[in-house]
Amino acid sequence: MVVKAMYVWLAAFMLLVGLGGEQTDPPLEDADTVAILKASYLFKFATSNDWPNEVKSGPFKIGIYKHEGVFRELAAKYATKPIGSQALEVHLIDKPDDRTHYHIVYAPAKDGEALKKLAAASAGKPTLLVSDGKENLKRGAAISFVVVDNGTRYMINTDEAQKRQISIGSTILLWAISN
Amino acid sequence: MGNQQLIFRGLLVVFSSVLIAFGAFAQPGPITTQAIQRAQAGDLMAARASILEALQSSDEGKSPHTWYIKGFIFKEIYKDIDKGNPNSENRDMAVEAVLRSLELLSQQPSAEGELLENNRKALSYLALSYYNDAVLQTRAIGPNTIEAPERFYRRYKALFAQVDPTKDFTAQDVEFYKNMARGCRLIYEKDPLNSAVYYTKSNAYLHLAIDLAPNDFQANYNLAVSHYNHGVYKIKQIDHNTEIYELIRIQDECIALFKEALPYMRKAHELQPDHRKTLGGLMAVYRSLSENEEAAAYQQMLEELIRQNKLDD
Repeated sequence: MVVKAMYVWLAAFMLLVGLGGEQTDPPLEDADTVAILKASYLFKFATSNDWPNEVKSGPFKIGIYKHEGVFRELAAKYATKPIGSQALEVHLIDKPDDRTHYHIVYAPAKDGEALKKLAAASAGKPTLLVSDGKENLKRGAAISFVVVDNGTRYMINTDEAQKRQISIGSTILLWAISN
Repeated sequence: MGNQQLIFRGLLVVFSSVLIAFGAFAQPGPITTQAIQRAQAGDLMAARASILEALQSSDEGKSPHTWYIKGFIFKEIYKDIDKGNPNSENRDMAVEAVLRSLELLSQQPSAEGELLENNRKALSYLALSYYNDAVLQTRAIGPNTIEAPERFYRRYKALFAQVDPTKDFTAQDVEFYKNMARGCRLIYEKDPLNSAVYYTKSNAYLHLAIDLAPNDFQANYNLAVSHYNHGVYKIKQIDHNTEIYELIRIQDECIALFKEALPYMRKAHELQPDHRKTLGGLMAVYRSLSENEEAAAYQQMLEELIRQNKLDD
């Protein structure tokens, strides 16, 4: 009888104790971290480099070629921040456009041919072409993102920037990876 | 209400049985008998006064039965009057009484088997109540209550080890550490900026779980996610005020975190190769490390399993 009564109590507690194994896994953050970093770099390129006076009025336009991740991050985090006295506009573009002046165009590496077309469409204009991979510095990009020790860094082709009358800021030069 | 009635009936059965047992082995003293009668009548505070008085008596105070009855009365006070309050002193006193009863029994030339067994069950019940509190506390853990679950869990283990010296606590330890890790993580997630210490604590608990159970999927996966998410959090803090050298420093810290996440995510994947979470996790970690070929390979695996409808959730 004693044992039976004790089991009544034990059962009541075991019910609660049994829930001890309940666990919820933390949700994995849904984020494109490389896109966040590239968007941040692009914003720094916009604020730390110098464009000729004739494009220092009106909006400061950044065109992102077919990369929704970078476009989304740049637009969400930086679109309300001014570049000097200019309001920042971020555009997602899907083809070279020689009628619109962009201060910066970012074209990812996987589309090397597109980069050439984008370079041609903006030839002679003060447009900073940014791409991925060292090889794209020879295809018209003035700055190109490179992977160093699993991180995103950048290299600069100062000649290409000079051709487009863009002066690369000293801080940007300082932290660039050398060729 | 139904449960309370059931438990009270159970209590009556126990007391009646104890009285029968006394009849067989030793008559309870008059004050102990009074305590039992008062408890049977539902007056626990009067029963408490009687049993404390009985323990002052030179004869009844030396009886393991008297201490056993004290244990039950204080346990009932803890349950019915203190409403199971985790900080109830009456529960601690119930434990002390049962332990004293066991000690006195061990000094007798021929221990009374039924009383010994009942004491063990009472101790087991009380030990489990501490475990229960430890678990419940981990679910409501806050910066000011972080020590409580550990305290209750240590108490549970110490008491249960006396009930069953051969008890292997490994599985419970692992669950406890994972619950503590979860509690600390939730504190950290509420205020990551000012609660970084709980990120560290959460990881430390997961490491303890993994040390005991290296093949625990959840501990490995959660530790990987913890490192990865912390890296993502840091990257998300970059804003228009971040200087480029800071951006590079933050990135370096994040790369270190992603690299730290990788072996645990790989291990979790090894343990459950068809799990959506680990495949997604490996994709995310490799992508954050700019190892795009590896990320693509896991993406392909994920898509293939989805196509074959073989994915575990």
